[in-house]
Amino acid sequence: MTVLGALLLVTALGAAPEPAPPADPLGGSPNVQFRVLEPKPFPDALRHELTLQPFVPQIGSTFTTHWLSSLTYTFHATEWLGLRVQPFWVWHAQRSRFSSELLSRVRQDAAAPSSVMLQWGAIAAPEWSPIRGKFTAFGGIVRYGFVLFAGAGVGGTEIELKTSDAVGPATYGSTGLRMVATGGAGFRVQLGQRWTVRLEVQDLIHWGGVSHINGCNATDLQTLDAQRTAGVITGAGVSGQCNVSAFQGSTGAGYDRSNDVSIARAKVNEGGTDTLHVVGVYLGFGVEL
Amino acid sequence: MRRLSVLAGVLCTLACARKGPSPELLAVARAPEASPSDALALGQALQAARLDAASIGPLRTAASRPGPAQAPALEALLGGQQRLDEQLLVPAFLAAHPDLVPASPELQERALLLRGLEAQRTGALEEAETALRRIPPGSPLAPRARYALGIVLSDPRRPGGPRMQAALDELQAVGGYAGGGKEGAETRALAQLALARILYGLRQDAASAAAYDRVSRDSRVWPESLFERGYPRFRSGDDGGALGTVHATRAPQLRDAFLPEARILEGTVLFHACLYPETRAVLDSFTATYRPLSERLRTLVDRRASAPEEVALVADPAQRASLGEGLGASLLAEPRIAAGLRLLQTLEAERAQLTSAGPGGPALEQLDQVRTEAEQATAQSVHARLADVSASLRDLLEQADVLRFEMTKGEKELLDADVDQRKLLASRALPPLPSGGAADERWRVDGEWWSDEIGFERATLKDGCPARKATPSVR
Repeated sequence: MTVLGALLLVTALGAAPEPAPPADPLGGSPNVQFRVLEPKPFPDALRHELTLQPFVPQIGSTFTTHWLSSLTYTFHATEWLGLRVQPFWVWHAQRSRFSSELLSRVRQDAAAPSSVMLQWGAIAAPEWSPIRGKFTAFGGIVRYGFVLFAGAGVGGTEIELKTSDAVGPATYGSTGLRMVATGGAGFRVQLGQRWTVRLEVQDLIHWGGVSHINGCNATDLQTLDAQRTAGVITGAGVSGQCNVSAFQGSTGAGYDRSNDVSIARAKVNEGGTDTLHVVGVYLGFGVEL
Repeated sequence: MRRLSVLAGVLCTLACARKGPSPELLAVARAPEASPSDALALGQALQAARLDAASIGPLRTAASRPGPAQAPALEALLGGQQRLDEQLLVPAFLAAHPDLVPASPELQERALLLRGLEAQRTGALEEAETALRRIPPGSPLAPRARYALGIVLSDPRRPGGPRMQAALDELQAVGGYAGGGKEGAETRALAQLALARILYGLRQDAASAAAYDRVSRDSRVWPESLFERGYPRFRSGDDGGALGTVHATRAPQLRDAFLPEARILEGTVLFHACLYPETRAVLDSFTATYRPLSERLRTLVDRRASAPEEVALVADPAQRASLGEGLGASLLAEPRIAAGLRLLQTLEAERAQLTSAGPGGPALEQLDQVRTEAEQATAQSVHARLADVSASLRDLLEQADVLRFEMTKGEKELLDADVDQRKLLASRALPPLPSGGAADERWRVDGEWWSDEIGFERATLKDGCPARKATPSVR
């Protein structure tokens, strides 16, 4: 059972407020109808909410694995609509276990456009709370809202060059800034006047091919590869955006970074594009001001 | 005499140290009727042993007789009253001795308040007004006094007639006093309810409904305010609001509230909309519930049971539950009955302490006398309340019969006019329910009762009348 499923189950179980009272003579009348119009105990309109999602695991990944942290600022313009701005930082991005096994067992690597990973980003999205509910818990009433959001932003990306092996850890090359689209849904639980808990599923979508690595295009990488074959990567004759130093020197484990040039060149030359999804479960704790 | 006083003082010190009654004291103390000094000594010794309830008897004796013991006895009596929150015997004693004035300003104010409340209870409204007015607005007792003064000023029996605006001013002023703990909050809620009732009496329906809305949900009187606010809404033409708020009193969370009148108001609103089947259903349910209770109560009131029996009716959980329909719980919540039961419990506990310490002597005799008085006063309150409820239920059952008669007349008129009401109602759509504002949560009413939703119900109802009638005058 997913976390979301568990929450729904708990919500359903906790929804019984009181034992049934004696029969209401007006209960089945087609001529009378009742509705509760209750002022929201904790109005949201024109309030600011800051939510920290400290650990967000990616779910359903194929070739990459992302673990990230996120901070979401939401301005609730009305009770139903808000605008969220969400910077995030991916502190763990690597080849997925499936991709690693594919590589080690059948020597088949994922296509370069499918292996691009997010490093960081920021998105802005309008948020809509179309449904509200409540349940009883801990002797009180907990209110929740179902939220939907979709928006866009930018993110920094990278790609794995050398895989992690006996020589040392994996190396990565920057694949530059990309547009990131996002969409998500989840539940927002209000605990009193100030505190909120959010459980959301959010998809960070980025797309495109691998045309540059560390700012170097195919021609730059060809030049650098020729220089490496000649003995020394000097960086002469490459474009200004090409970060030559990323291919110079060695890593802390003693791996010669110049070896990344041929790998990067091969990935750039692969061509093609892909649309990648980083679907994560965002459990966040917020404060409303 | 001097020897006895010295001995009593020493034993009093011993009692303080031991935190219990001294058997020696109880044995040597003379009957307090012998002299005010003896009574004072016994009362003080009992208070030192934390037997405040038992001390009421001898201290009253000492305070009622002129002499050097009178002033300290009065002060000790008021001190004990404050600690016990005793509301039956000491106020009655003070009302019977209007010349007794304690020395300290704080105790003077307390004595005035107790006298004022007792005078108000017994219908001596002039005396009540005089006493309550003498409590300064800055006194910690001012909220209670001003609330009581507001009630006195609005009482139609007030000599010179009621002064509604002055009453409203006093009651509004109560809301301005913050703090005071649970008692302060309760006084503010009572004042708010009284304000709403007076405004309704002045036919200021919108202001009355708004005042009812401001009665604190945490207060004892909130369920009462919930149904009563149906009246101004109904009279101002807000049938949906009236029916919604009255319907909310069916919530199981309010099962301890005794609100039979709510069902009559519910029936009246439905009758006003010519919804005869619904009106009949409500009235039949009302009669089935409250006619047996009314008959039981009539027997009970007419039988005039003994004081212990009447106290047991409320004190014993099984007997209390047998009253049914929230009546037992509502009796228990009546401040005077609750205070009486509390005093009886304290007296019982103190009696056990006294008897465990020795033969008891005059102290025990005094305690038993106080106990008998407390039991009688509590029983009187129970009896008076039961009599009120019995009379009110008879009246409400008659109102239900009148509504049934009117309904039958209405149905006959429909037949005479050849109107098929079922077809008429089927042809009419339910008016839309109010949607509320952006900051309102809308919940369906589907048989579940959520405590936070009580009081926020609104209804929409079809109009079953061929032609609209004028809003009937209620209350």
